[in-house]
Amino acid sequence: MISGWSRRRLAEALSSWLSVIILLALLVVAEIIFKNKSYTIILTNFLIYTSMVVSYQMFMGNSGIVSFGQVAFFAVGAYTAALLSIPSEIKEVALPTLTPFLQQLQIGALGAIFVGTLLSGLVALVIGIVITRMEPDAMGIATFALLVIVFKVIHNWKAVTRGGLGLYDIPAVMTPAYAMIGLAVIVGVSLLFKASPIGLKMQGAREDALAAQSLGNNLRPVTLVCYVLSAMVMGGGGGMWVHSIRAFGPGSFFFHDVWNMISMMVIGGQATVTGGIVGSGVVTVVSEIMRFPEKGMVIGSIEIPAIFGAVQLAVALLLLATLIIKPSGILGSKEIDFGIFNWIKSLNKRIRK
Amino acid sequence: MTAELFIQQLINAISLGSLYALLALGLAIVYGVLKVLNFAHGDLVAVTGYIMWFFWMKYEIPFAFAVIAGILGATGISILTELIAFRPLRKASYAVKLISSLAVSIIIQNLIRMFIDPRPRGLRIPAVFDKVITVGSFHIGALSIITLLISLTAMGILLYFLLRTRWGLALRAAAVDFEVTRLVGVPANRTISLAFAISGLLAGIGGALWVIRTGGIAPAMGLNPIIKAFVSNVIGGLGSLTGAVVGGLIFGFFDIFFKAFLPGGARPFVDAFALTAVVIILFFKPQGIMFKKEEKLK
Repeated sequence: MISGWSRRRLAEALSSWLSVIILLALLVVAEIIFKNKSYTIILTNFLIYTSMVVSYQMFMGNSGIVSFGQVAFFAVGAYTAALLSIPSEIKEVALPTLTPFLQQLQIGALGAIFVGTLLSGLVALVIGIVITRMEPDAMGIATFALLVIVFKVIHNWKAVTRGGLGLYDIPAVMTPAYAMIGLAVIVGVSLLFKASPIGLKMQGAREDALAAQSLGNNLRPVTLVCYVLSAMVMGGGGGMWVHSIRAFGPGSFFFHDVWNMISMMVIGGQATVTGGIVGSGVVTVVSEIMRFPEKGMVIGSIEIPAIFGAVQLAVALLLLATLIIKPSGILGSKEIDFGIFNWIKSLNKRIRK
Repeated sequence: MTAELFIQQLINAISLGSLYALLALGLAIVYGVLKVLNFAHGDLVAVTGYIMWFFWMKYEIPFAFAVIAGILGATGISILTELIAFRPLRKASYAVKLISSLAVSIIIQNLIRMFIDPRPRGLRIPAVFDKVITVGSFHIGALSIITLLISLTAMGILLYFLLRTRWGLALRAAAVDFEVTRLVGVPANRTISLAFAISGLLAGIGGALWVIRTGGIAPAMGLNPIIKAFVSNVIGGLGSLTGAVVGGLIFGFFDIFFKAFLPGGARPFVDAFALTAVVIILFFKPQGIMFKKEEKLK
C-alpha cells in the first residue's frame, strides 16, 4: 500500500495538515467562546465554502485544467443529501409526486452526505469517461456543458427538485465544529492525493504532458481518478452545505459559484491545497467589507447610494491584479507549514540533553 | 412530421446555427493568434445590447444606426480588453489567460450593474423582425431570414479578408506559427489587436442579432451566448475556423430540432438534451469534428 509513496511527501502533507487545522480550529474556538450569531454564520459558511474550494483545487490545481463544471457536483451532492434528510412528512407535502420509497426514506445527515458523495462520484465517472479523451484545453470548456445540463435538469425536474422553488426544511445540524471536521477530512484527502503517486503523475502532466507521457504514464486514467475524487469531495461539501442552510434552489449552483471558487483558488495559489484556504479567507473578508457600499450607507449627513456590483467588481480586480503581479497566487507553490515535526524533534533533543 | 414542417425547421436551424457560428468564429480568431478562449466574448453581446438600448430606446435614434453604434462599441471594447487584460499576460499560460478573460467578463458585467442598471430591461424590437413570410405553403419568420443573410454576408466578407488581403494572410500565418510569422516581419501587437477587432466586430453583429431575438438586455446576459460559442468551438475542434462554423450549425440544429420534435413534457429539457447530444459527439470525436489525423504529427 505504501509502496510508491514518498515518505518525505507524506510527512510534509501531515505537517501542513496539522498546521492548517490548528489555525482554523482557533477560529472555531473563538466562536465557541464568544457565541456571536453573525460570526457563527459567516464562519460556518466560510468553512463549508472553503472545503468546496479545496475540492475544486484538487482537480484544477493538480491537473492545471481550468474546469468550469465542478460546481455541478456541488449541486448533485447537495440535492441528494437534501432529499435523503428532509423529514418525510414535509416531503409528502412539498414533493407529492416523488416515488413513495424516496418519500418515506429519511436517513441522518451523515448518511445523506455520504450517499451524496457517492452519487457525485458516479456522475463524474460517467462524464469523465467522455471528457478525459479530449485535449486539456477543450476538456475544461466541455465541462461547461455538464454544468448547464445539471442546472437545467434540477431547474426543470419538478417532481424531485421542485424546480425553481427549491427544497426546504433540511435539518440545520451544521455547526462550525462539524463544518470544521468536514473541512479537515477534505483537506486531508486533498493533501494525501497531492502526495500520492497518482497525484504526482497528475502534477507532472500539468507541468509537461509530453514528458509525463514519455515516461510511460497513461494520463487518461490518472486524470479520471483525479476528476472523480475531486467530484466526490465536492459532492460531500454540497451535502454539508445543505445542512447549514435550511432552504435552497437551483440558482445556488450556477456560474456565480464557479466564478467565486475559481477566484478564491487563483488568488490564494492554485497549486497548493492551503492556497485555496488562504484565497477563500481573503475573498470572504474582501466581500464582507465591500458589502457595505453595495447596501448603500449614511455617514453623518452624507448619504452614499447603494453601489451595485461592488463586491464582485472588487474580487475581479483583485483577481486580475493577482494574475498580472503574481500569477501563482499568494502562496505560490508552498503549502502553509509551521514545521511541527521539526519542533517536536528539537523539543525531543532538548529533553534528552 | 410533414415535409413542409421539416423544411421550415431546417431553415430555422440553419439560421440559428449561423448565429452561433458567428459568435464562435469570433472566439476562434482570437484563439488562432493568442491560443486562448476569450471568456469576455459573451459580454460583448451585452455591450452591444446596452448601446443599442441607449441609442434606440433613450435617444430614439433610428434602429439601424443604434445597431451600427452597438457593433462599433463592441469592437472598441474588444480592442480595449486586449490592451488591459491580455497584453500584460502575453507570455502567461493558457489557464492564466483564460482566468484573466473571466475576470474581464465579471468586470464588464459589474460595471453595467454599477453605472447603468442591475435589473433586466426590455428592448422594443421594430415590427419588421416579427413578420412571417409566406411562400406557397411555407411560413418562415423574417428574423430567421435576416439572421441567415447577415451571418452569411459577414462570413463571406471575413473569408475574403482572410484569403485575399495581406492582413488576412498575416492572421492566418499567425494562427499556424506566431513566432515564425513575427520573424518574417509581421508586427505582433498589431496582429493581435486586429484579431480582437475582428472578434469584437463579429460579437457585435452576432450580439445585435441575439438581442433582437431575445428582446431584452441584462447585465449577465453574456453567459448564454458564450456557452453556445464555447461549445460550438469544442464540437468543431478548438482553433479551427471551419470547425467553429460547423460546430455552430450542428449546435443550432440540435437546439431547434429538440425544441420542435420533443414531446411536450420533455420540452423544458431542450438544452440538456442538446448538450447531451454534444457530449455523445465528443465521445466519438474527442478532438472535434474537423480534426484531421495528420495534424497530430505537428
